[in-house]
Amino acid sequence: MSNASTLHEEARIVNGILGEAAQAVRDRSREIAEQVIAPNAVRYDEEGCFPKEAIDALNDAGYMSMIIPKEYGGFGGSNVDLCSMLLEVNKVCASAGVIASVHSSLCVYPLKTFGSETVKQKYLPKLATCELLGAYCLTEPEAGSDAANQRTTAELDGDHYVLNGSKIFITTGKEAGLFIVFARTSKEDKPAKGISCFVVEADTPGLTVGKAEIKMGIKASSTTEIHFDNCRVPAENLIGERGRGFNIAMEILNGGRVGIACQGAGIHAGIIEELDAFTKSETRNGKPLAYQQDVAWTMSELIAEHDAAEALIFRAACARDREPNPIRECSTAKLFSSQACNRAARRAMQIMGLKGAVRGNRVERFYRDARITEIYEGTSEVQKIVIARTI
Amino acid sequence: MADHLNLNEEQQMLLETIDEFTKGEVRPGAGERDLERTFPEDVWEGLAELGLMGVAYPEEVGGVGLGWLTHALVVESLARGCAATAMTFVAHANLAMGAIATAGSDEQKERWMEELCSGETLGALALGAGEVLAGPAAEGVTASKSGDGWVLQGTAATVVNGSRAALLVVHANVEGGGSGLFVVRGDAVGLGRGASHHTSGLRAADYADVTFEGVAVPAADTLPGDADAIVRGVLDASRVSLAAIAVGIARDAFDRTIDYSKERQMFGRRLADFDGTLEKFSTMASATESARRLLYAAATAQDGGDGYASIATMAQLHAARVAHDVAYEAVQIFGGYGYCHEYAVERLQRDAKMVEIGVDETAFARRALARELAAI
Ligand SMILES: Cc1cc2nc3c(=O)[nH]c(=O)nc-3n(C[C@H](O)[C@H](O)[C@H](O)COP(=O)(O)OP(=O)(O)OC[C@H]3O[C@@H](n4cnc5c(N)ncnc54)[C@H](O)[C@@H]3O)c2cc1C
Repeated sequence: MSNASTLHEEARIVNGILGEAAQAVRDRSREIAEQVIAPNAVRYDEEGCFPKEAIDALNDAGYMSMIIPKEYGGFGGSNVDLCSMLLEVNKVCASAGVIASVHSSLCVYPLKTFGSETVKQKYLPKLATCELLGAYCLTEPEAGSDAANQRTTAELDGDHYVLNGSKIFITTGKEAGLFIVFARTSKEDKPAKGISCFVVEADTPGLTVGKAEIKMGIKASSTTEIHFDNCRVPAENLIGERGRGFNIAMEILNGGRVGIACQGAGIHAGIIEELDAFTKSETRNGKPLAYQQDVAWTMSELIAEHDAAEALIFRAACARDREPNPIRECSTAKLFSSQACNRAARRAMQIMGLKGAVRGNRVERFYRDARITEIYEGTSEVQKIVIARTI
Repeated sequence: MADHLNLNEEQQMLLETIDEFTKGEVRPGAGERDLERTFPEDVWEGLAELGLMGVAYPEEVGGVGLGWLTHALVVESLARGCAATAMTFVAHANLAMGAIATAGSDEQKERWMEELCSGETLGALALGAGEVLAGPAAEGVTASKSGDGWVLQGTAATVVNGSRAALLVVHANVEGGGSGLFVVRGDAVGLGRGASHHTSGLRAADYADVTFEGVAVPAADTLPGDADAIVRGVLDASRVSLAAIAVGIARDAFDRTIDYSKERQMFGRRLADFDGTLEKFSTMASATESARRLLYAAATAQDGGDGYASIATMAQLHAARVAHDVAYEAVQIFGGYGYCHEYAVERLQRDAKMVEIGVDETAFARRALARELAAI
């Protein structure tokens, strides 16, 4: 593992000076992004289809197994490595970005952290090769931000748990082979207690994929309902202690938030790249738009906010390589980066006018994609509640 | 309610009619039209039947004669149901009709205004002369003298109602200097239309390039006067209407947010009961109300005649920003549902962004405003 082991090393990373291994990941990711993903990104958005070439290329590079330990067939990388990859992928395609992030942060992470040896042996090698793509089922119609209000139940019946209930808004719901699922295993007075975490294979009888949402953006990432109707799951598929599911869910999301922060900063970087090219080629009164003062000022603000977001992201990634659950680092990165990329999208489209507002243009696509980053894996309001608790 | 406006009975009745029409006819299909990018055909027919296209224009030319404030209220109401429909209406009733009503001779007004007022003919203004609108790198349209009349050549980019309009007022550069306004039928020989641009918002509105390949225009079909000044005046008037679209979007977003927040339960409470939500409500409401008041002030000044360009620009700038702020916040308050098409607010955010872009396309107007205010 290329953990940032000293403060000195961390300081370098937060300043954007990556170690050799992470820099190699970043460079290779950029190549994949530019050569394989970017040429398909508009089509993915238009057709709302699974970004196959993108995920295949990341898988070929071993990056879908980024945080899976080598002994399970994984890449054995750090959170800094993971962020280095996600930043580059999101810079060209936010749908591929979230699919990759959910796979690693919300499915691989809980298995490797809380799973029994049996479960790890069973699933990590398959997740490492993308034979199984991962998803995470926490949200229900009555349990969004209020995730403790889970209605899905899991009853022990012999050596199986029987799951009943419905989840909504599940990323990769259509394509996933493996689901991390939260369900109530007992009725306690405190709603956050009595929830447990399971791993469920997609083809388990009783599990069905429901309605897919039509969304503003990240159109190539499917978002579906997942229904459990007397779905029998082997008892050994319980992840972590029975009744500890809520804490596990929150710890998983805390890590996932850094992935979403990467989505925001990646989008932000893509917008800057697009706007830079536009304002240098477009002229007003005989000079490039880039030299018009109001445009240059806007660009400078976008760059400042982007750089701040990346610094917060690498701060969070280093913290996660050092300790299991660094709340403040992860939530500040997510809050800031998601808000900043939306400001960037709005302002870039303003400068580009209709040219930045027609389909096929990256700024138009990113304007719609950016909007989700303030909503999922904890809304901005939830981040503020969480951050306030750390004071 | 717009009760502080001292509307007369006729205005009030008309407002009630349009509000009802919006609720019953405009609003229900708005989501579907956005998804499919379909022109609001049925709505347009209904609007024509109501006879509202010419609300601002005098009765002599087939209008209703109720002035610009009433017009703004109609646009605002329409936009509360479907901003794309309101945009279609503005391109027709402000831009195309405005040019003819302000510049046309009596004979020309008689010839064209009635079919435009009745909505039988859909109009558009094709801006093909560089001076007034620094549009997105359009090559522009050039008019050259040919016998008694003119021949048009070139492209007018992203004309609202461009792919469908049956009557187009074309602002073209005149060979040898200056510019002119030419009225062209949609079926004129040599007139071509590009496909409607696939825009991010206002998707049911029709933004298309219109091409002119030797389109002949008889002298009788050119509008007299200083074309640049006429177009500038028409655009000033349209700024009030764009502000009205923005206010309509903001109000729709706010109303939906209130309804949703009262229903949505979490942590054993309604979403509307959290301090943070209340703070958002007050910010959204005061922003929306300020945009609305500025809109009405601008429209009232417009009815007063000269000297309303600055306040029109300010109303547009402010309202467009407010619409986006409010719609953005609406999406946030709806949470995951806000990101889904079904709950409509994501459409409002995209529509608001298109209206906000309209502000920058008139960067010209913004500079003019700043110069006027700073007396430079
Ligand atoms: C495209 C997409 C993909 C998703 N993918 C997944 C996935 O893979 N797995 C999964 O489990 N979920 C997923 N989600 C669900 C997502 O995480 C939730 O939408 C999010 O947590 C918000 O929940 P909600 O939609 O129920 O909104 P609500 O919780 O109803 O929130 C509504 C509003 O209330 C605010 N609010 C919440 N709590 C408070 C409070 N205490 N005080 C004040 N305001 C508050 C929120 O910030 C928001 O503005 C996805 C959602 C979308 C849209």
